[in-house]
Amino acid sequence: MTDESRRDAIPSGGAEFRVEIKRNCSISPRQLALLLGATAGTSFGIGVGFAAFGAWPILPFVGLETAALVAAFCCVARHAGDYETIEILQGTLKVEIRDAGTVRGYEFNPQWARLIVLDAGRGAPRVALRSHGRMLEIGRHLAGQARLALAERLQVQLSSHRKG
Amino acid sequence: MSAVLDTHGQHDEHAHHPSGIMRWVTTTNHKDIGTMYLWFSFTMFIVGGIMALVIRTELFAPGMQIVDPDRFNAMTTYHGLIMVFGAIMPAFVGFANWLIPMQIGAPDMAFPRMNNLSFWLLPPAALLLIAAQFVPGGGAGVGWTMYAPLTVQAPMSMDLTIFAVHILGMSSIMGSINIITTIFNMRAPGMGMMRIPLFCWTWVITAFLLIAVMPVLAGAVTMTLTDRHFGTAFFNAAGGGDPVLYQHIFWFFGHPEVYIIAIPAFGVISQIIPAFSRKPLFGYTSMVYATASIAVLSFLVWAHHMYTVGMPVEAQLYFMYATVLIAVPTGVKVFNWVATIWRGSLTFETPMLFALGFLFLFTMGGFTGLVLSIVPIDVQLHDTYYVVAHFHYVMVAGALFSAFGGIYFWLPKWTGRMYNETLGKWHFWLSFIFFNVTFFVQHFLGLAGMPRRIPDYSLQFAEFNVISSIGAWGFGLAQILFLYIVVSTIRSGKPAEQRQWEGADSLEWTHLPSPPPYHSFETPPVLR
Repeated sequence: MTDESRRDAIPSGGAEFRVEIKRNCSISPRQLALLLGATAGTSFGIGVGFAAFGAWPILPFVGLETAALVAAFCCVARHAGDYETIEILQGTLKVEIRDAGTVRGYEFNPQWARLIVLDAGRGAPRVALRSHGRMLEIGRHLAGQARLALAERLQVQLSSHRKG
Repeated sequence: MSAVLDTHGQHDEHAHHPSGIMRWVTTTNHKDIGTMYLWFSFTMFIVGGIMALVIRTELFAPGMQIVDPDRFNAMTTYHGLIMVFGAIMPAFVGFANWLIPMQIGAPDMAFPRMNNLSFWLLPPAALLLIAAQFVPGGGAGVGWTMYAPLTVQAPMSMDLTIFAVHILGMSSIMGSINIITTIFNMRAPGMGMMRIPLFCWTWVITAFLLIAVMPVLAGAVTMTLTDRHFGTAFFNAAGGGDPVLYQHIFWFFGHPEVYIIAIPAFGVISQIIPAFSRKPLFGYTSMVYATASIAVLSFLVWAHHMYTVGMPVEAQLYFMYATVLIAVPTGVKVFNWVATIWRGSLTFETPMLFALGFLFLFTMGGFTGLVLSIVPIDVQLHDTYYVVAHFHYVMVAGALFSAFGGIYFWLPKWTGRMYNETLGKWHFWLSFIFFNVTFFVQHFLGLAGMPRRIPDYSLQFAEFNVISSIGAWGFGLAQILFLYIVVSTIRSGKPAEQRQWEGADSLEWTHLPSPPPYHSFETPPVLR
């Protein structure tokens, strides 16, 4: 699930740089719940119908399959609202990450923060901010090269900060 | 491992992935997995095809020639199972893997690891189906429908078959969940459900069909297993069970299964015909609703496969009328394809030839289906070669021709190389002619009363069987040409353009080069 969209928000409240990256999700959790209800309802209807004629072993398979479907849909729905905002505001690099309903904020000093590429040798490159022994991966909702493009843009901002 | 940011020289994405066999074992990339599905499908097509040739060679003349009756029955059974579950279904899952992410503007499938597992469940299941013929007692000559109570008495190969069916079902369920989640959740911004290519719509509908019916098949074979080994009597009349219940359960799965095979084929055809007619598909919305209607109706007609089993005349009438009703949405689809062709700027490259072959022959298969849906006629034709001819017109001229057309259509996109058009046309015409030589005469055999699933037959059927067997060998040999065309395209085809077919307008043609990059869309495309 790495299909994501990026939105360059207009810097507000005096922010010098602001990027909001949202997970691309083309179905709402409510629609997903309706879909699940309809699918599971149909499957259980069929299972119960056959059980009424004595063929009850179909029902456990309906249950197993519906459980797999629920797990997949939950996985999608939990992350439907995930986002990352990265902004430089009043001399502070702020990163806000929403992951499965939990929002966490991180602050870095742009003078000290370094951008690093993780695992560049295998799989898609991952990008992280590192400062004072702390490391935070960013751009997780972007794929491959778009992640590096974000990093390059942020690198320009950080460099200009260092130069004063 | 980490490095201070330096993005130069990191654009060679393939360098980051395992190479050799491990690339294929561990891959989570939809294109790799799509490729594996397609090669697996072709391998199974050859295996099932060899069985078909054994069957047709045995039937070349009356009397027993090369196999004993038990082996013949086993061949018939596993030919059906392998072609349905091992060849045709995985072929269209291969298309789905390759095309759905590219057509909706996504970088990959929603659950790539599950996608990998879905594929790698198939080879062990295929091995079980093949191995089942070599275990003590021989293969289970029960037919692909696995009717009870014959299955209760079958040798241990039946257990291997049941296990294989379970594994294939798991693979299908995982694939369906992946496809549904991908299409509903990962469409590019601006791509509403009524803007996705029809191929994606047909796969959404197919995935829901699979989810609805796979537990039914799993339950059916599990009850067969418990009847065989655990003393239950679901289907065993000797213990108070009901063999007819099995038929109801199986066909509740089995009839939608026909559409699980046919509907993605409709999707492929709906991409090819507009491209070579240089016109948008006529009646996109009605195509979507017609496909959905076919899917819904497919749940309501199962007992037309069992008119002769004994049922009240009211039930026979209901199933007959409901079956005839399916001709309406199917007619809508055929009408729309013809209307798309009408006054189009037509050219007849190989994919279009296969699409037109599909249109012509699938419609014939549909008509013979209507003939069989009429109770008094079906009572005469049930379990004759007319039925064999009918479903091969649907499965081979329908699904297989569609798959061939789709491969020729997308091969330039997938490989970045163009196939040899002359050889492609040879492949089409050989397949078209030999297919009809094989199966058209089987209508006459059926009308004359030749039963299906017999290794020997009365002398009166000899001539048509000779013709049919010659056609089968010709059709089989023509597929070697197909293999040669595909391999030579991959190895030495001329470079293909991004939009090899100027009439093709879905995202994979308009937004991606040929071949597409390892990750199709780094960011979703912007659609107007």
